Amino acid sequence: MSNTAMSIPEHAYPGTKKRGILGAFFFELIKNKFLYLLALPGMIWFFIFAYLPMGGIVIAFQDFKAMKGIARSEFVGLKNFQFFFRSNDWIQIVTNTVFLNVLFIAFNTLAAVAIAVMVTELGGKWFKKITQSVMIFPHFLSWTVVAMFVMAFVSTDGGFINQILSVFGIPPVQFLSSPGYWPVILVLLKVWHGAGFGSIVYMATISGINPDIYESASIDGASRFQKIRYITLPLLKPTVILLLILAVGGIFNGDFGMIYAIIGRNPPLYPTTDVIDTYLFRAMMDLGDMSMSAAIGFMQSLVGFVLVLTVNYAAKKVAPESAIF
Amino acid sequence: MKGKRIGTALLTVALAASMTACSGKEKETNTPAATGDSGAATPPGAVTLKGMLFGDAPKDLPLVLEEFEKRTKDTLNTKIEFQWNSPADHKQKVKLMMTAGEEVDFVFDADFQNLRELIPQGAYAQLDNYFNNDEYPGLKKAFSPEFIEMNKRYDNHLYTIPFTQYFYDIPVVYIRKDLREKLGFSKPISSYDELQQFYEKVLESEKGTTPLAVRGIGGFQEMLAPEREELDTVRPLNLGGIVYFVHLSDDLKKVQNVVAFGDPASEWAKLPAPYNTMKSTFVQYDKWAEWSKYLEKDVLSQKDHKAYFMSGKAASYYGTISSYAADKKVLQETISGADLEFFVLKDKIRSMEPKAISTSYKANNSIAIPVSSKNIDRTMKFFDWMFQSRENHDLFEYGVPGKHWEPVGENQLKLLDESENYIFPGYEFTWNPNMIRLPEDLDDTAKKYFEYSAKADTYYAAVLAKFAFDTANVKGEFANVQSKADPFIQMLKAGQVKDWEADAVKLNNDLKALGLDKIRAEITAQVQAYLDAGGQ
Repeated sequence: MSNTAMSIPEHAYPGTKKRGILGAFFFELIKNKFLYLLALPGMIWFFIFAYLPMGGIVIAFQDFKAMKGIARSEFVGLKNFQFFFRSNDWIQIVTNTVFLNVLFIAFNTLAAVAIAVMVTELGGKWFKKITQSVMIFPHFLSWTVVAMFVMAFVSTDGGFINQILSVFGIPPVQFLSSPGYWPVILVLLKVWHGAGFGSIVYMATISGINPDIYESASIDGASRFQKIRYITLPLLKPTVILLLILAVGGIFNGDFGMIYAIIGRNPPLYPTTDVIDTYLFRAMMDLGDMSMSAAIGFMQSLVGFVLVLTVNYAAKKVAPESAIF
Repeated sequence: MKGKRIGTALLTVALAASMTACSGKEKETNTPAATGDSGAATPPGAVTLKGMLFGDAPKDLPLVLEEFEKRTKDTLNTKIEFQWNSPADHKQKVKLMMTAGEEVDFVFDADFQNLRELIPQGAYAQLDNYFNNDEYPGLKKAFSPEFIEMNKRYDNHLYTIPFTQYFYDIPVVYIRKDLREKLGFSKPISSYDELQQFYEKVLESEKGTTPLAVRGIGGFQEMLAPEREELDTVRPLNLGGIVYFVHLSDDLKKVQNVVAFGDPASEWAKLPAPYNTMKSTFVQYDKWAEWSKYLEKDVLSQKDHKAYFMSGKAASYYGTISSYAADKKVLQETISGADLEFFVLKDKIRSMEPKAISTSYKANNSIAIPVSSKNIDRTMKFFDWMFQSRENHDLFEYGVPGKHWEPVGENQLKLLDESENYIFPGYEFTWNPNMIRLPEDLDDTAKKYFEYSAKADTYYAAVLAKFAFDTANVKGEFANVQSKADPFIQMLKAGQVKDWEADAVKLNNDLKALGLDKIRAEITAQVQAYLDAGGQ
């Protein structure tokens, strides 16, 4: 996994300790030159597409003008951040964003792990493959298409759910003007859409578990449930924590593609569904100001970054082997 | 302030120009070449003009370009290369292209894109001199001096080639003709009263059919708007979602008040009748609340009301007259036996009175030429060629004659089967009030309204029509006010607010905390500066 893979005995290179930091760096480079060469394309890719554009963050602190460019636009300090916090709406919006994302992450992880465990326990080869495909499929539907299904289900005149209710003589539920239902609906959709696909990583981890462990457990008389409880789940824990840490980084980013496609611009639903990204979209509709949008984007990333560090720190305390760094 | 702005603009132009100069290439001035070499027999050097539009490239565009090159090899010697951006990305791509200094000879830009931002930054070339200029007879013929004058903006120069066919797209309610007849209305709907009777009848006898389909974010829009004479001294400005009334002195030289939606009664009392109360100013809002029973229950989440109508679920829908022929065709193909007709929403327009429509004569769509282009003259020569004759113009707008379409008479056309391989977005590149062709199978009523809306006499320019608000100084306030007001205004437009007056006052108080008064002061200052500079 790391560059120690070449396993050159330490004592073969006496004097390593005496070099300066720079010297050690170049020595390391030369020592493992082929490994670094292998990593080079990836590193260049990250440098160009992930590190270089970070310079663009600077426009969050500028009054950016396209013709003047980044170099000559005027600096305005934190002015671009002010508008977001001036109205009290931001508390509601941030709460919605975090609340929905926490629900999404929690339920998606639970569902994905459950699916992974269940599918691996399945016997029939064909049945297993088909089940898996059916569960992964929704991931490839765009939210715009999903939104059309949703409308067919929840609309007041002639929606599927309301038609069923009317059969039992229950008056129609106006889902599209009742904000209370939507966190539940959105979570259900999110799980349906993403849990199957998310389970792939967990299935891979499970198939990587040494079968000898299960065998010896069987010899000791462990039931199927006990094997899941005491072998599969504990061995999945590092992967679960790792993916959680990564997901937490995006907790301040509302899922614009999903929420805007499904909710659109329906004011009665804003109290529970308006997230940072959809709010920003409405505020910037006419202005289209890059600096102000960049400012909010930067804030979201910054909070995400701090959260990743915090969760990682916590993970290190609880389960050191699953922390990223 | 204005002088300072022009100064900044000049500085930016100079900076941009010096950058192009630095790149070692010859700098081309943005005034037409004075020499008359265009008339000479030898064609100019070959040039390829690159441009950015949005949408999907028409499938047969290569055929059209081939035909174009064939026709103009000895005169223009020009090739055109289009880059088609996705509609969602076009705005950002144009901006990035400007920042990166990439070379493009023409881009689609408009007020709803980057125009308001990029012109003051000096991104686009001034085009005043190309129009009304004998060197460019095609442009001179197709663009009247008034049209050009009204499309000048910012520092009173022209930065765009404006495209439009009509100066106003007449709002209508499209009605299922077959349904109207079935319900016992023998004559077409001709008043709001009849329309309401029709809707009542639909509710009563057509269970499951929505009387009127509108879009969730649009609502009733122009429906039921009061029919009254416009006052020169009270001018509405729609900014960031809410309406402000600018009250001018009788000589139209001074701004007296700026009253915003939801202001206290004492503010409205300063305006002359009927604007002296909110109730009398916005009489339609009560009507909208009353008529909301004719809309779907989930109207606010309706994203595509036309599709809803086309699927047979509604008896009528809100639209504009320009889509009549296309919509009628879709309806007839979808529902057998169905037919479409329209009810014109405004009295004066319905009876085709002259000077019925107030307009700024501003085209909503246009092409702009980046100052960094080295081929400004050649690009304008191309557009000049295109507007020299219908033949040239129609090649780009409708495709190859005999293959995609056929001319019928002077100003009509028949689309041929292959026309679906050449659907060109004319509003981005070719539209002109003098070069309209109507489909030959259009019915007479529709034809009359199209001809009416093509006549210059139909329109008049209201006071402050040319004024454009610059958001630069109040960006933050503007964003706050817009995001706060938008949900309420949207509910109001869809008739979902019963006691709208009280709610408007409440909203207004919230907006004041977000900088409404700063925007108001900025409007006052900008309108005053506009009037002081001789604007009308």
